[in-house]
Amino acid sequence: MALLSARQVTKYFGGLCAVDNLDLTVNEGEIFALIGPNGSGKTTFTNLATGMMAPTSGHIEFQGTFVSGQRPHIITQMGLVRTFQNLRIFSSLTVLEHVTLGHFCRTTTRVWSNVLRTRQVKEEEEKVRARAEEILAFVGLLDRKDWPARSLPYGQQRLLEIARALATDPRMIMLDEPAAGMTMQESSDLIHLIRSIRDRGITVFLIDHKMRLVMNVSERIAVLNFGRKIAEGTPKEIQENPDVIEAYLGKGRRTA
Amino acid sequence: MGNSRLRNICLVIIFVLLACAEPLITSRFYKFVLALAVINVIMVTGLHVIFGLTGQIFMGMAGFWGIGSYILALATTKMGLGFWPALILSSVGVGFMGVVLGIPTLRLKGYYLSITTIGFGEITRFILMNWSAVTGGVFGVFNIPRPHFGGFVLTNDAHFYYFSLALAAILAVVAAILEDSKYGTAFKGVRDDELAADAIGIDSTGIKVMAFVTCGLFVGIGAGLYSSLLTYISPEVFTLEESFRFVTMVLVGGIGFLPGAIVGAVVLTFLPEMLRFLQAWYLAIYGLIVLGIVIYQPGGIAGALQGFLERRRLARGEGKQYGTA
Repeated sequence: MALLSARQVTKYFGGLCAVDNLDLTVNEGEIFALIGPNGSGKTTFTNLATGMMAPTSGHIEFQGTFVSGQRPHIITQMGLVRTFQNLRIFSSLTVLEHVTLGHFCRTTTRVWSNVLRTRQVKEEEEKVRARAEEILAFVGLLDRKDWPARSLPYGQQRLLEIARALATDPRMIMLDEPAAGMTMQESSDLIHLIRSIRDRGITVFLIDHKMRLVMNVSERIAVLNFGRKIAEGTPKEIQENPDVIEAYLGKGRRTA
Repeated sequence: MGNSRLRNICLVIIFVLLACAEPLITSRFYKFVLALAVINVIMVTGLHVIFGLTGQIFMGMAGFWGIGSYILALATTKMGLGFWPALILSSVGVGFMGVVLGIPTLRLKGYYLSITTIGFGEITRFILMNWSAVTGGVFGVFNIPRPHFGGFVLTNDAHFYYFSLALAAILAVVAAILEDSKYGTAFKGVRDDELAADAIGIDSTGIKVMAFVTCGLFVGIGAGLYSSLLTYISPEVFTLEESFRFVTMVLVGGIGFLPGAIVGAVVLTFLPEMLRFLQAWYLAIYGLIVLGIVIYQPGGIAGALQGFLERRRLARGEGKQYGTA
């Protein structure tokens, strides 16, 4: 079943066409990867899908509802969450606070009951904390929960962003270059993490250009080049596709 | 969290000191300044929520302050309301201004917001000055009543002082509880990175409006008390300079640290009065002192305190708590 579908999505920045007439369908429960060289429009597509930008034309549906042009926090509340390619960590919050704040949009107590510290508020806080700790244990950061997030090493800040996004109870998570800046060990751990995110019932939309990661973990791949989709298929099909090879390695003399 | 414990300890010390200060000051004038300082403490607690916690540089404090003062003044003298309903009205009224001002302006970021709120403060002052039929224009409003408990009216300045101090303490506790709640974390999240907050499902504009309203509710109470303390108000007090002074209180205290903002409020209420003997020079000296703090101690009082505690811990050989393990 299609969870996310893009229909003829186009985005212009002035005269530059960043995403060109893109059709894309992501099915529920799969690990889908969007790859392509730098500047091919991968991050722009993420921005369009999560409401950070509005498309010039076309539309994006999530669970059958239009999300393009919707405000970002509403889209997240609908169950589509993202992480950022350039880390966006809250510099004054601890690791645990990041994850509890991720669950903020699912909590129900009002501001007055929070000031009066009613029983419901205390119960809610307890529940949110337990859930945040479960998620931190899941990504392997539980022993760092009281650290200021900014003092975590880079790779762990990436994991924290994933934990924070998981705390919003998403149905689909868009990971924008999660392996950037990670060590070899960290990125092979990431492969396991991505699989276990899917095993929690969350559809994974992976954006990256690290071939080892993408080919290892994804079930279906779409390739962008200059904003246009040039190929779509299983990792094996993608690896053998001449257009993809050309986009990544350039045109060889033989094919010219 | 260690930080909120440090905050609570500092708050207790500050309020105990303020309670002890009243009998120690002999001059009638400085007793009056002390009462003003406590009223400023209430208002700066409001500013702490929107500026310190949520990071929005709000330069329209004089507008909130003016509106709150006039609501209490007019409600008691012209509408015949009692002090208590009028105080609630001024709190709610300024809180409502938070919505009115917040919804259109809070999509603006950083300095754009500052400029807009400067405009808001100035417009408020001109309305108070020129809408004579309602506000009494430049002549102001007279005979504003003092608070009363049954038949007991707080005409005595010392009684009024302790009453204001009690309210200030209650509001500081409310602000501290709010800061430790999930909303406090959301305020800080929006301050640190608005886009990231949006991305995890937080309506950052809504959170900012909420912080603005909280600020208004607090400032309304302080402003109402101000009218009542002076028993006479006129529009020329609520100037841009005063808005800057409130922002400076937070800066001197250290952004995001409530006890710092409170000390900042007390210091910056007394400083101009104590420098008044310098006459024409006093603004220059006052400016230099503030500039010195911002340049040499940019973390303000909070930064100095945290630096001191950190050095002491290092000296005791406890080392840094969070190394890269």
